[in-house]
Amino acid sequence: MSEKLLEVEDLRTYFYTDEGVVKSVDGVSFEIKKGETFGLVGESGCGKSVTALSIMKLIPDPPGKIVSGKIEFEGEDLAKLTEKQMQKIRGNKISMIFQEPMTSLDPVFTIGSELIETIQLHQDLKKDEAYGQSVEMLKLVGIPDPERRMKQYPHELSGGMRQRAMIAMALACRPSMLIADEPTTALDVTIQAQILNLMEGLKEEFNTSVLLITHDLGVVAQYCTNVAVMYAGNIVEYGSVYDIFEEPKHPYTKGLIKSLPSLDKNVERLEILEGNVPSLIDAPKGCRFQPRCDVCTDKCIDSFPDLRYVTESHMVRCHREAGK
Amino acid sequence: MTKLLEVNNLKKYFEKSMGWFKTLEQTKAVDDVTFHINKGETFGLVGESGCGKSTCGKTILKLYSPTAGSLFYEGNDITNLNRREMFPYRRKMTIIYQDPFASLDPRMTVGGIISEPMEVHKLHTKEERENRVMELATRVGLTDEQVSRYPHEFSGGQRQRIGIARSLALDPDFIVADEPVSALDVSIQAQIINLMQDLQKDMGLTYLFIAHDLGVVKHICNRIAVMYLGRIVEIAERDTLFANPMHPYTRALLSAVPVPDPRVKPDQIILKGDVPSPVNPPSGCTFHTRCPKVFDRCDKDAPHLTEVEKDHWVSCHLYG
Repeated sequence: MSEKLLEVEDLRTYFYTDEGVVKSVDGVSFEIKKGETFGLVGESGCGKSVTALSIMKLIPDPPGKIVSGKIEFEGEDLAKLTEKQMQKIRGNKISMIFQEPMTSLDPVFTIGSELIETIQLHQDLKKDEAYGQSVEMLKLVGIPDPERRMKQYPHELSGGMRQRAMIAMALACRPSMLIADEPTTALDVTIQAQILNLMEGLKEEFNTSVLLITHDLGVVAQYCTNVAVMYAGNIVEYGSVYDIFEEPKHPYTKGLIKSLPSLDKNVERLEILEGNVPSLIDAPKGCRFQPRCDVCTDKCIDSFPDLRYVTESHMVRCHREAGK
Repeated sequence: MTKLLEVNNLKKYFEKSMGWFKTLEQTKAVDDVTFHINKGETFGLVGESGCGKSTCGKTILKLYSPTAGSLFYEGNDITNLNRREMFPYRRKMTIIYQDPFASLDPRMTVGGIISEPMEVHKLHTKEERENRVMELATRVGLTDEQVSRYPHEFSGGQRQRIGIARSLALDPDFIVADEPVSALDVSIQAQIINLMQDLQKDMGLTYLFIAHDLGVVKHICNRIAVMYLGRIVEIAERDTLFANPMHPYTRALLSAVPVPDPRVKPDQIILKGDVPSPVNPPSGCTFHTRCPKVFDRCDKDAPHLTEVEKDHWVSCHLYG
């Protein structure tokens, strides 16, 4: 077993709004080992991005607040750090890339000046050294003619190029963990393949761990080692990719996998999950998935299930499965 | 099988004057596209962003006027009809949009949104319209009580149901579905796809299904055309296209889709570079700049769509 890099324990992040308390992340625990790609999957609003922002401590406060939980990274609890101490971690040890590269790059700065700024902020380098390293990084992420690109503004680059520039920036300080929040959702399939393979290659080269947040089960199956499936603020299933895709236990995971149109077999009708994701303000008392579940029992309506082991590596939050 | 729609050498160029000297810049969004759609089938149009698939769909509906080429609907030439002459066809051909957040008027109730097309076409009495709205709402899976609510009170999937009910209001024969499920979550996506298939069976609809998600297209379409930079590079029956893709672009596109099975590691064909700009498309075959099988003829002559096998059309010099 390789060493663990990050351990999140019972993380709760709530948003206090006029309509009530939105429990976006409500008791999430997982760990990421050194050098692995860990997938966090779920549909929109399930709390996967809020989990990532909580790890970076980038939750806007107010209205958001990390209510409780431990975020242990390289033996240090990030939840207890001050903003000043966090700044040393962000970008240096943990960095993040976002879904929409256009909105996360500043339009008034050239790619070069943003890269140089990032590098100088974290490393004690002179400007020309930082410039050299920036060009090096752009070359590494496969941007042709990097010297010219250094002088360009984000709008002059295509979506794929921008995401490459973001990755260059994120990896400039050789972080030990990269959080990728839907890094390829805004990109086309052929570009998505380029970016994911690039990330895979760089991960090996720098021995970086990746927390990959996505809603695309295909991406998870192809690139992740371990996976957590989130639903309405909770992890409902946790295990290796093989556990999740070959022996899914939770009715939600099963439903998600079945509702995917497949490329290699033809089916008459897609199996569907009825209903919609519940509101996170007044979450149902029992199991959060119970209103959409077709195998639910009285117990599911009354009590909230715990995440329990079904095999050594595989956990599920379901009364039926855990009771077996 | 009867042809419902025929598209011949359709072109749609957008022009924009640039700079001091007002030089015209031409974007060839749709460039010489030919295909037909049979009655009752679902014809898929796939490609990446900017390949002209949406423009193609909108030009077919005459929401954009074609630059060149011709359009036949049920054998009638509709290419040069003006707005008034098009009006009767608007009842037969409609569209479902991609973004259910942007395509519904936020100040209208759901009932108003669904009945508006009937009002525009002066169909039915007020009472009949109200009944029809209820009927359509129930058909797409909305409750009676939801009809008096406003779009912002609904989730993405439910909004898409409203959009579908609206496009069914005039009892059309042909619907252009422009990425109808790409803004939705996986579990909701399956609900909408099933609904669209049920409606097709019940009402005998013909769909032009525009999408970039190959899994969805494979599930719902009978025949599929693949577009790249404004041109169709391959057309085939669904199973033929997926079992035996011929054009190097189609192959790369299919291989790039991540398979939701951790044991299957497909041989990915990773294309180099980005899609070139349609303002200045590459010479010859527009795909030659990224093609893994490029040879000396490709940058000189543009290939034409030719029937390589029965009902399998490819536009590539490899099969010339």
